[in-house]
Amino acid sequence: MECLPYHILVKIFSNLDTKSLVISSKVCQLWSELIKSSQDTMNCFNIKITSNRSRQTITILDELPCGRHRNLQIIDFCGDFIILKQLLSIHRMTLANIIIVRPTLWQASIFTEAFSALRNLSELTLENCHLGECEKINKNVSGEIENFAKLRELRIINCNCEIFNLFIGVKNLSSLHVEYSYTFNPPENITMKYLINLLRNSPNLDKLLLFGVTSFRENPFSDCFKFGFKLERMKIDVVEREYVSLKNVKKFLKDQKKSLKYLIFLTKPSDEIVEFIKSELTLNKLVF
Amino acid sequence: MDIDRPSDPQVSVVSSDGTMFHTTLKSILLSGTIKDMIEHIGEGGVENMGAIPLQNVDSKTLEIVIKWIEHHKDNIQPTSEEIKDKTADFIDPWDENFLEMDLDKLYNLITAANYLNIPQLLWLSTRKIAMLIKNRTPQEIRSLFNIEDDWTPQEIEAVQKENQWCEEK
Repeated sequence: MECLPYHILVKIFSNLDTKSLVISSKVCQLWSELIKSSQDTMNCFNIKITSNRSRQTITILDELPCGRHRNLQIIDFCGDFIILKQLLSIHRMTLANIIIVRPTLWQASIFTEAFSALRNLSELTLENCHLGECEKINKNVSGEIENFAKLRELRIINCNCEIFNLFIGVKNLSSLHVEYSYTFNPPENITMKYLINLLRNSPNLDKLLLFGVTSFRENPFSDCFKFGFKLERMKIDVVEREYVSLKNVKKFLKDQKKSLKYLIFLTKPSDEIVEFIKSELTLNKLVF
Repeated sequence: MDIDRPSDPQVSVVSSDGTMFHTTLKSILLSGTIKDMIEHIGEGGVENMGAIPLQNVDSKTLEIVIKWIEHHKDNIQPTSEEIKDKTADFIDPWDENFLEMDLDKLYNLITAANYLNIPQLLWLSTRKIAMLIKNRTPQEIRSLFNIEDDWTPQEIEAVQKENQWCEEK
């Protein structure tokens, strides 16, 4: 084996799956060095889990030769969560972008345990996910937020609004995209409460997209400006405009005056607001 | 194509230990290195060209290489770029069988495939080694490939800690 040049050894390693790579890196110091230094040059693969016969699918995926899996898509997953957890654990150093669509009902505690440990997770999309018992988690972890340490972009689409609780205090969260939240627990306006709680605890947020978030019983602006974050981009769909008082909108926009550069209304606001925006704000882009 | 010129002329190569092998142009062109050499000879040179010396390949290995290129001379060879994107691909049973050889021979074959620039053969032979690494413990890998365990106890502990998650069942 020692007769083979290093670049050939790297070629051999590039045929290995992640698990075998980890084992190989324990063989000797040279192998360990070579595997560590060549990881970046090895191929990137996406993992996509769509099959219902998840156990089998994941076992196969696990054996794919790879350097690093960066992207994971889990669609219609209704299989064994333990296997999924194992997969996440194997790729926990490299996974950066995860999309989850329509999984089976997961308990929030299991979800957090499996996903929050991913060290390089920076983008997470949850679509049609319903996670149970999110409130419990909030109570346990608040204050000691190490979870989702590198998460920057979060998209929550058509999920139960309790999910917001899981991301409270995520330090690096800079972009939040929320579409159509709902709750099974009345009163309805709880969505806004949870959302605002998340916004209030995300100091680095500079992009916000709210789309079709119903239950705007309370005025979103009145609560947003209180905790004074500076948005650079904002896209908002004011579904129930009658609840948005002009005074509050003006105050909110004035507060964001310095940072706000991109403002997109998905529903056209009243003429008075348009007038106000045009006279008071210097925007790079304004769209109705 | 010229009528009195055979479509696949004979070419000779000489191993590092001086053994001469005869094969055909079509086969030998699977080697990127030799292809480059021949292209530099230019017009009409192939027939008059003497035996090609291959100083980095011994006769035993060259015999194996020639067996492989002659079997594959009519197959379209993937480029190194295409090979890079390969995943768990279908392997020709002939190749699978062909690669049944002891490790020393396999190392020599890999070195030769690398020197001669035959991407597909290099991929097959390195993959073969990778298959041997799979599903073995570090100790098993060490004894199989005769590798010395050069970790200090402290290092072993550190590495084990870092990789604990991999052994979780």
